[in-house]
Amino acid sequence: MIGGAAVIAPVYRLTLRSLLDGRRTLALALLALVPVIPAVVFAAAGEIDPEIFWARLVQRLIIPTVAAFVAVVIGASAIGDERDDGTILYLLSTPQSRLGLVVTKVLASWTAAALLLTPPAVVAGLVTLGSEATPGRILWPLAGMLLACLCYCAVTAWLSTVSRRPVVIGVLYILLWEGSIATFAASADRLSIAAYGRVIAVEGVIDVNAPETAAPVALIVLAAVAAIAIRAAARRLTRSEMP
Amino acid sequence: MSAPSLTFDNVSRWYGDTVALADVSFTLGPGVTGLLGHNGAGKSTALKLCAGFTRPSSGTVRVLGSDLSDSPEAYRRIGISHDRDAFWPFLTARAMVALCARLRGVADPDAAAARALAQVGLEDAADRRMRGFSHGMRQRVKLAQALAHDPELLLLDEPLNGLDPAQRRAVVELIHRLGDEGRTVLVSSHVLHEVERMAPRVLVLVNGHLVASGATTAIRELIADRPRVIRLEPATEGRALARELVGAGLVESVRFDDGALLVESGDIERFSRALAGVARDVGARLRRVEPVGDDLESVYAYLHERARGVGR
Amino acid sequence: MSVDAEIRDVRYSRYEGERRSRLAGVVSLARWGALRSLGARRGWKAKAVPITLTLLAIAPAIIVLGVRALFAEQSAIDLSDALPYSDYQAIIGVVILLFAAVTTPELLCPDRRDGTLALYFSTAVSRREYLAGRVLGAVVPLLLVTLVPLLVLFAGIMVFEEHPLGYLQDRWAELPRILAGGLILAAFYGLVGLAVASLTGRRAFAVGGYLLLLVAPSVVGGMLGEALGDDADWTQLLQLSVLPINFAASLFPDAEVPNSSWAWAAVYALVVGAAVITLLRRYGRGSDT
Repeated sequence: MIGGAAVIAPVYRLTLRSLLDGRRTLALALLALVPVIPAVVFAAAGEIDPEIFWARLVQRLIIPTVAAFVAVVIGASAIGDERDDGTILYLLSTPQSRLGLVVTKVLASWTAAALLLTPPAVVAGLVTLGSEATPGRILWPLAGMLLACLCYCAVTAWLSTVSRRPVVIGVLYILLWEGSIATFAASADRLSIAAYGRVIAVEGVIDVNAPETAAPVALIVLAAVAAIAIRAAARRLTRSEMP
Repeated sequence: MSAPSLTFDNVSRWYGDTVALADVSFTLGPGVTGLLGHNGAGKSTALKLCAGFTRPSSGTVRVLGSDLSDSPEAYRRIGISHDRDAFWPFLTARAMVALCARLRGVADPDAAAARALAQVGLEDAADRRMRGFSHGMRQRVKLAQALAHDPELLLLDEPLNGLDPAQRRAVVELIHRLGDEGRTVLVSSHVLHEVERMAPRVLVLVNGHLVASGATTAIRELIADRPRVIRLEPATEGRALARELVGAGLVESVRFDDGALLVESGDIERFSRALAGVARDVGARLRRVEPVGDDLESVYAYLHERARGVGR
Repeated sequence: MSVDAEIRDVRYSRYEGERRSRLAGVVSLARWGALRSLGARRGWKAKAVPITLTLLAIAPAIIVLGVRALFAEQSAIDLSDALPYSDYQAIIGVVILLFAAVTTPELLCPDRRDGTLALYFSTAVSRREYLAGRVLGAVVPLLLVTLVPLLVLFAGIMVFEEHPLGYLQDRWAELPRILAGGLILAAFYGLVGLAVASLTGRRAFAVGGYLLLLVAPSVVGGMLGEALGDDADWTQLLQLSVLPINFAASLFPDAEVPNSSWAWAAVYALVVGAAVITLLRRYGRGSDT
């Protein structure tokens, strides 16, 4: 898929199962459900235009906070957990290409994140928009969210090969950088993954705080960053000390 | 003679100011070799270097002719049992061993897994999830996944850890068999009498330095500046025998130990040739003659003592 | 045969020294927990973050006092209006949040992860005492950023007044409120941080989960506040990240905070209660240690 490295099916299944197993998944699933709550409250008592509220829900809560967190935690765990407990040694002591291993793990973490995030996001959209729901208004934000997730998963997977605390760094990045700074300094949006996700989302909803970039450009940027991160992570796996 | 399976060439590994291995060179061929050393001597680092989990700070490591970090292909022929207790709790033993076999290119992973699990004695527990396994069972699963793909080279880091005495004997036998089959096996351990049973050759590490390598008995021979101790159990005329041996200059010292004689001899050849004659002359009947201190324990203790202060 | 040699008996021997009270055990747990969370014995990087955050928290006070000192006559500002105490805490809210996020996991997560928890519970320390010690070790350092800056400001203003003692007499009633405010904040951020940290052995998840737990409802609350019109002040109660700040501010007579003090108190009690229950359950008998 990327540079000739194919997805390794057994490792994909193993990682997916490992990521979704346990109490942590429950916490993440609860977090993913959070957007449904304001949607329900709004549907019951909201006074502004549903389109505007949904646009805000997508661009201020779903993509930059909820999806970002879930993707960062899952993305860091795909490689990070196995490095910490030593099981990655079983995978590394095989003739599988390191790039193939990283691609597989990133795809598995993306799948897990998508599984947790998509249903509540769709439900939140349908509840908020009610009769004004159209496929475009739901699917474009979904696409923006999922592509941003892929990028987050790839970047945190790389972070987990260079640092012992990838989750902390990822969380601080989300809260401080993407939260505060990106809101104040428009040019900082260039470095914000969630911002590019928002660009894609606003193909279907009203623009609330998305940067002035064309959607195809955002798509290319997200894909390119993910690919670079995956390549870098594969290189780190061969060079660095295990475990 | 085929190419050696494993070559260390002036390998050093340091972590900041700590030197884990200093200038270690050796080659390994088929058969079982023991890797001995106290805790912190560098055994695990050496095995990590062999397994390709880390790279040397200087020097080269060649495993099956290649550098593992450049070509992971060689992993098809290497089996590794590392010292960390790592497992996926939701997998069964069979699933885990089959997965490892499949990833290493085995054609029929399930059959290979079944065979390997039988070899380590886990056929009955094969379908239980590893979450409920004891330490010894997990250790054996690790061994099974190292064997499943029929590797040419086996790197085993303390494989007997956590096993009960019966299981230990079984695994020692297994390793012995693997060596007999022509595989290259490197076993690290610090239970010396077991290494002695498994491994005719040893590598001894003290504080990161390789202080001895080769067959245990040969190492013993080389330690020339230490006299050999022989234990004689004469049924009769013990004191007379002792007097004669000392008088003839065949021994340097004599000690009585619970009815037996412990003699130290500088020239073991001369002593062995002359012993029978002396005993006959004195009228002593010898029930038992055995060298003491030829066992691995003493050799190791001596080497360790001699190398004390090196590398620190 | 003179006596100029001796052989020492260094075998196992019993402890014959002073044995201290159980309270001393709790205090020791608190003290060392607090010191380690602030970076003791962990290298300069672990110390840098709490120290920086503390300095950031005190900075506004220093700046206001500095301005007063340098431009004494020109400024006719009444210092206590320059930086009202309720606003002060709001300004440094992020700093307090980060301080708690960084220090509270260090109190509970390493013990759970390294397995020393079982070791503690096999000694005379009871589970409640362990928790009490750790709670103290979380709340007291937090006072460094919730209370100390305000006290610095108060003391500084007092120093610059013409009649300091007169000032103190007039304004002494502010001190209990400052103290209460500081404690309310420290208790909230500390207990919630500990509750999240008790759920996992991994510090990274504790930090992330804590920040998330407080930030996500705040974002939701903000959005609902915009969407539901003007009389939806109750959405402010959802803003957990600034809940104690608003609560403490509502206790100052001059603050303009929506919702009554009772409403704030109720939500505060709810959150803190949930945190305490979580802690008790995670460290109760029969829970995984």
